[in-house]
Amino acid sequence: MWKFIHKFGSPPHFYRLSVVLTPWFGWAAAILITAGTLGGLYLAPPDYQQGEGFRIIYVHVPSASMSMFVYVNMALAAAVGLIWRIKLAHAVAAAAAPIGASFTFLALATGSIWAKPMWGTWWVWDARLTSELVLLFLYFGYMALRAAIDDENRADRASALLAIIGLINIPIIKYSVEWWNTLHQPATISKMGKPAMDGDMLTWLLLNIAGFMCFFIAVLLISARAEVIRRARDQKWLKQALGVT
Amino acid sequence: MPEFLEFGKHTTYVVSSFALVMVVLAGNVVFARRRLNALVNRTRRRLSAEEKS
Amino acid sequence: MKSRHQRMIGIGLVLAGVALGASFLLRAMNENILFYYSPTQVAAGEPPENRRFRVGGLVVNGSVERAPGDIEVSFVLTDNQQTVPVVFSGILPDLFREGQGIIAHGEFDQGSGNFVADEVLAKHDENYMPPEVAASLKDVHTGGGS
Repeated sequence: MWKFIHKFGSPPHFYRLSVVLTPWFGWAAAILITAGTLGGLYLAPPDYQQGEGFRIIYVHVPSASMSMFVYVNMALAAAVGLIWRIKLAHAVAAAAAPIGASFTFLALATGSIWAKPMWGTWWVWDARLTSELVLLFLYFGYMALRAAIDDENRADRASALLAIIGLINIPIIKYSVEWWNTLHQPATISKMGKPAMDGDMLTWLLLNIAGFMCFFIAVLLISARAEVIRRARDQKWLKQALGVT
Repeated sequence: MPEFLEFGKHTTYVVSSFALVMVVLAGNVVFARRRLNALVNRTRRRLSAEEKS
Repeated sequence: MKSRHQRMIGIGLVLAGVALGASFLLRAMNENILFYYSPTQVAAGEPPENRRFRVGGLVVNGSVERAPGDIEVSFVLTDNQQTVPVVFSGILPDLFREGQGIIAHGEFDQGSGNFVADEVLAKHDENYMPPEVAASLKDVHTGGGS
């Protein structure tokens, strides 16, 4: 375990791994998202109540689930950085934040676009929508905190603490539709039991979720690599990695 | 509006949400790569300058 | 000096963010306490008088009436126990139909006994299926007789 963490936590090893893995995840994301989007737009049948408008689900649900998935991973990386004092973990957390904020923004925006014709309003202050908005502010707070502190180590520690505190919001988002009386409908895909969605519709949704996952990993690897270079202090491996002789 | 972008009375909503998602996703890739390239170039210059001195 | 300023701004932002988030959360919960009343609660006189509130229920089949050439629409909401007549003038959401869950926001008009809504929202459920599947499900329900 220790050996694994330290091997993975070593910047040269991570850098090499990242260079190798990025194209794989990048191409997987491109193929999956293309297939899921085209399938969702043209092959999936229209919904019996929402008609063609339901197709927004193919981008809304992946964005929304990734907005939470990214946050959990960011907070976990930050916690690893705090506990084991691994700088690479802080670099990964810092790289994840803007991607997570993008997904959260997309979840809110696409949900709002869907809600206008379906519910009849762009926005309501129900528990699900409000807690997702809080998630966006958590990402912004995390990035603002990093940007405001000059000292790298202090920035790492303070932002990590914020990320961990903000973790409380994740179960609130997830269970808001069950705990409170919300306008937002409950989850369609749940781990327990059969999804409340027809198979012809579900396939494309699952493809897009997988595609968004690969997309996140690919962009995270690129951004984390930049973080690693920025933090590296004149090390031999950096010259080798960048081809400086 | 070309025919393949017709989605009944929800055309505007469907097309705008998909377009927004694709723009933001592409933006993420572009900004991440641009930042990495800029950092790589700057670091290369710094390292080779140190090499000479 | 500059970094100290940056730190102060940073802490201020975080504090503002947390305060904003907490207030949004409280606001949401506060609204949720009275997010909507059921027709039974309305009949029992639970909603506050002279204040706006939400009524939620299913639109009774065959109750939707539109005056010709007018955007005003009237319908009856039910929770299968009590009913509330609602009048609304405005654009109905796409998911508005008979049998659908609806949340109306407005005031009770004591004179006419109608709930005058200025906002009608449709509450969607988590089920997604193609029209054919929905039709066959309906056939099973009505045709089976059970």
